[in-house]
Formats: sequence, C-alpha cells, structure tokens
Amino acid sequence: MTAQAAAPAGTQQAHALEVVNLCRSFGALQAVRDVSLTVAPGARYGVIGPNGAGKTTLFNILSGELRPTSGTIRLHGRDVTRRTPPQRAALGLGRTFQITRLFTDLTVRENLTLAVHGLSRSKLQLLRPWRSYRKEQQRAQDLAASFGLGNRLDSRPRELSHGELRELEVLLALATEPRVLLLDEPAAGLSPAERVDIQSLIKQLPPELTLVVIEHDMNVLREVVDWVAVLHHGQLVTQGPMNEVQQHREVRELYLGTGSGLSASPDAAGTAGDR
Amino acid sequence: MSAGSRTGERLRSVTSSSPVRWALAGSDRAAVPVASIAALAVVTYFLLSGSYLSTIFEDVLIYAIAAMGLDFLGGYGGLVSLGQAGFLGLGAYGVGIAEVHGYGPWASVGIAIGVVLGFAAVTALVAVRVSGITYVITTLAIGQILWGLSFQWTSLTGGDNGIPVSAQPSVGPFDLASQRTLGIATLVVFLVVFGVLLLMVQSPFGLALRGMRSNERRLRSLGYQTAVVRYLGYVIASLMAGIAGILYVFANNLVSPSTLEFSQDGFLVLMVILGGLGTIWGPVLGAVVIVLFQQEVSIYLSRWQTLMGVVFIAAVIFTPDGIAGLLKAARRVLHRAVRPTRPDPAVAAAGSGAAPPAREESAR
Repeated sequence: MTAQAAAPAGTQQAHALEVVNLCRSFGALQAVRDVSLTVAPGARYGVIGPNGAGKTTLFNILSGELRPTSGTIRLHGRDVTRRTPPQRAALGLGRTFQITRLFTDLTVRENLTLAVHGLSRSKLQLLRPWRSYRKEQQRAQDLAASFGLGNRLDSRPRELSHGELRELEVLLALATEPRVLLLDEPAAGLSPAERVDIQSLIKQLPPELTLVVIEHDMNVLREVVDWVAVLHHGQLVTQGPMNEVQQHREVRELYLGTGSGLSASPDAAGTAGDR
Repeated sequence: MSAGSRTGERLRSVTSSSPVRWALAGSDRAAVPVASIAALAVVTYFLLSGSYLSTIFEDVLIYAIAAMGLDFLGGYGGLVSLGQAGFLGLGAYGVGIAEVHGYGPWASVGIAIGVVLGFAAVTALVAVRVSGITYVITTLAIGQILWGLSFQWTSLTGGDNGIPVSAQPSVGPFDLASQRTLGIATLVVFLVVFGVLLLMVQSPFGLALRGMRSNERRLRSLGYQTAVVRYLGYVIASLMAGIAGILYVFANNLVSPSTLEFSQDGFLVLMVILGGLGTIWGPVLGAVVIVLFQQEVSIYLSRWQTLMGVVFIAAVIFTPDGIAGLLKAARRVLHRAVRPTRPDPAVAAAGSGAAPPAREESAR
C-alpha cells in the first residue's frame, strides 16, 4: 500500500480521507490521541482495537458529530474539520451506526425515500407528494431489492429481523451515494448466517467506493478489508496489510496478552490460530 | 372432492351475494368520501342558515385552522408549541392595528400576514435551537411575550379593551360584512389550508419532518440540515395560526388580550391531542368538541371546564390517539368484517383437499 508512504504535497488530492494529528479529549480522558492516517480512494480500510480504544469516537469526529480538540480532517483534499454532518454528507461522506439508527416510525420505503432525497434539492419540496417522484421511488425500490428487502418495503423496522435491520442501516447510508463510507460494526449482534449476508453485501459495494470499517469479528473483517489500523487507548498502534497486522506482536498482545475485552471471543481465537 | 369444492362454491356465492357483506364492503370503501361530503354539507347548511349555530361553526373552522397548523409541526415534527394562540392573536391584532391607522381592510390583511411571518421568522431563530421540553417552554415564552404586549402596550393595542374592527374586506359583490359570506369565506380558507397541509405532510418535506421526530441524528447524517426543516415547519405552523387570527377578527369584530391568553394556547393543544396528533383531520374534530364545550356546554354547566378536563383525561386513557385513533380502530373492525370474502378460495381449498394448482387457476 503505497498510499501510506509520505505523499508529496502535490498528490494530497489523491487521498479519499486524510486525518492529521487528530485529538479529542473528554475532560481528562484522551479518547483520541494524535491519530494520523490516510485512506486511498477505493481502499478497503479496517479499524480495530479493544473496547474503549476510541474507534467510534474517531468515527463521530470523521462524520462531524463530534468536534476534534485539535487536528485536521480532509475529504478528497478538502478541509472538512469545521463542517457539520449534513455538510459532510453533501461532500460524499456516508456513515452507519454501531447501534442501529433507523426511522422507527416510518416504513422501509419511507426510510429509503428519506435517504434517497437526502442530497437532492427536492428534500425541501413542500407541495408535491414524495410518492410522485418516480426516479427516487425506483431507486428506493432497487436498493431494497438488491439486498433482499424488496418484499419488506411496507414493513416497519420493528417487524424486521435483526439482520434485516443491519442491512437497512447500511442501505440508508448507501442511498445518498457516498464516495467514502464509514461502517461502524456492521456485523454487530448478528448470527453467523446473517454475518455472511452482511459480508456479501459489503463485498458487492462498488470498487470505487472508499470503505472504512470498524469490526470486532476478524472473520468478517478479513473478508472485506485489506488494510487495517489498530487503535489502543486512542492511539494508532500500528497499521498495515491485514495479514501482516495479524502477525504483529503488539497487536497479539493487545488482543490476547492483557486480558482485554476481546481475548475470550472467538475472533481472538482466530487470531491466535495464526500464531 | 367434488362435494367439497361444491361446498366451497356455495360458500363463496353466499358471501359474495350477501347483502350484509355487500353493504359492509360498500361502506368500507365509501366511508371517507361519504363522511367528508356529509360533513361539508352540514357545515355549509349551518353557515348559510344565519342562525346562532353559524357563528359556532365559524369558530370551529377558525380554531381548526390554527390547530391543524399546530399539528403539522407537533404531530409530524414532534415539536408541540404552547404559543400557537400568540400567533393567532398577532394576526388578529395586525388587522386591528392596521385598520386603526387608516389602512383599508385588504391592506390590513396583507400587513397582518407580513407581521406574522416576520415575527415567526425572527422567533424561529431561537425556537429551532432547542427541542423537547425546552422547545415547549420557549414557545410558551414567545406566546406570553405577545400576550404581555397586547395587555400592556395600551397606546397600540388598547390594553384590556382591545381593538374593535368594523371594516371588512370585500371582493365585488361578496362583502365579508355579511354573516353568510363570511361563513363561506371561512370555509373556503379552511378547505385550502386543509388541502395544503395534507399535501405538505405527504411531500418530501413532510417525510423529513417525521424523520426528524423519529431520529434527528440519523437525518443529519443523510444530508438534512434539520435546523432548516424546523425553521420552515415553525414558520408554516405560525402562518396558519396567523390566518386563523385574521378570520377571527373579522368574525368577532374585536380582538383583545383574552384571544391570546395562556388558556387559549392550552385549548389549541387540547384540540390537537383530543382529535389525534399526527393526522391533519383529527384536530378538526378536536376543534368541534372543544368549541362545543366552550360555547354550548358552558350554557348549562358553569363548571364545564371541569367536565372537559374529565373528558380529556378519559380520552388520553382510553384512546391515546384521540378521536382519529378511535375512528381508525372502527375502520379496522369494518375491514375485518369485510375481509372473509377474499381468502374464501383458500378456505374452500383447505376444506375440500382439492388439488392446489386448480385452485390457484380459479383464483386468478
């Protein structure tokens, strides 16, 4: 991955996402400490680390929900550090949430319609029914159909299985046609069969879409990313190609040696097998 | 097998020809149009009758306009305002004050709309920054500021005495000074507001309002500037109250601080909740009930407000979705009564054990 090499100033435009010396403190707690990383366009980038490592905080800063204490974020070369979440969405940044965040009072069709209109001017149109927007309705239906929700369009989220909810969570973000997509634990709480579904959904994403994925399940992560960054106590411990990082001594200690949250999980056992 | 399928045939023919089922299915389909036309006919009749009832129906329509506006932002966007009557009063005072300063009736209507929009546009800057209970209290404060002004700015508002309004607008032969013309004009404005709000709640913006109530953070991540959504919703809701206020001042020929005192804010919220939050037509029924309480029950019962409180509590306990929820439930019962005509082939197939493919064909 040459993207990690110190790029000369001229080629900085090439990074889909660039984070420079990012810090965020909550009082005395430094949740994110001096993190710098670059993600190339079309990359499949994983972020791992034990619970409390600052992964979700990093995502919240990237998507604009949290202001960084210091540091800079660039999206396709443009400084977005001071931009709000909707402004970043308009610049092509999409995200999903670790805890499913859907519009629970709305049907699947309405959820997707809302997302499809998100970045068009029609979202503030007052005097035309949303059902009459043919193109947008078609797109909402196609999105649902392409990932097995085609016959659930008129269901409400409470009528869906957990696996379908996680799929809808990703579909909402995809509906805005992002160029960079942040996936926060897409497989959280899924059964092994559902994990395979969400995994294949992610693998089907267009290759030009830049993906940054937080995931605890190493089996899922191995399938969907080729580059991983490891966070611990808010710091970037190491990063590199997936198989190299798995061999990394410090990482193995993080996951196995110190008895941190993950050591007992089957994911960690998978890592141990590589030893 | 042939006996079984014959039973099925007979069963189907009985249900399809049964006059009861036919009537039920018919009423199920026709319920909404028939009820709307009947209501429209009754209201028009009384508005034209020129009797005491016509003023009651006028009041119902006027308060319904303000209540529907309140429901637009409260029921769909989750932002219930306790200051809606303030904007009703602002519309009414706008007309009154403009007329006192020598403007004609139409110019005064224009000024009133301008004042309402202007005040809404400015106060919205504060109101859109807060949500939940803080929003409710902020709107209460805005409403109380308006009430305080109407009460204390005596040189402009006439204080306690209010402002009498005598000049009514007219178009050609239609003069709003006539009770009947005013009644029909009120009905027309009501219908326009009703139609526009129904359209708005089904628009992409209406969907955004509902999305904001459901999950604002997610909505922002999808590219929606939710402050803009709130802002527009607030201005629209306030404008509806202002329009109601303009009709109010022509119907009553007077506006005084009691038009926008706190109890009026409360009545409007009652109309919306009693009628059914999140439906545009529910608050109309709520307005009917509350206005009848205010004007009719109060004649026979001096403690009518106590009775209204009891009715309200009972409604919240037994039908939390208001009168609208009650009617929707009745509609569902009707649906269920009608439905057996449709899955009949399947029932017959199960009973006879006939070959399913043949069944499927006959079903088509």
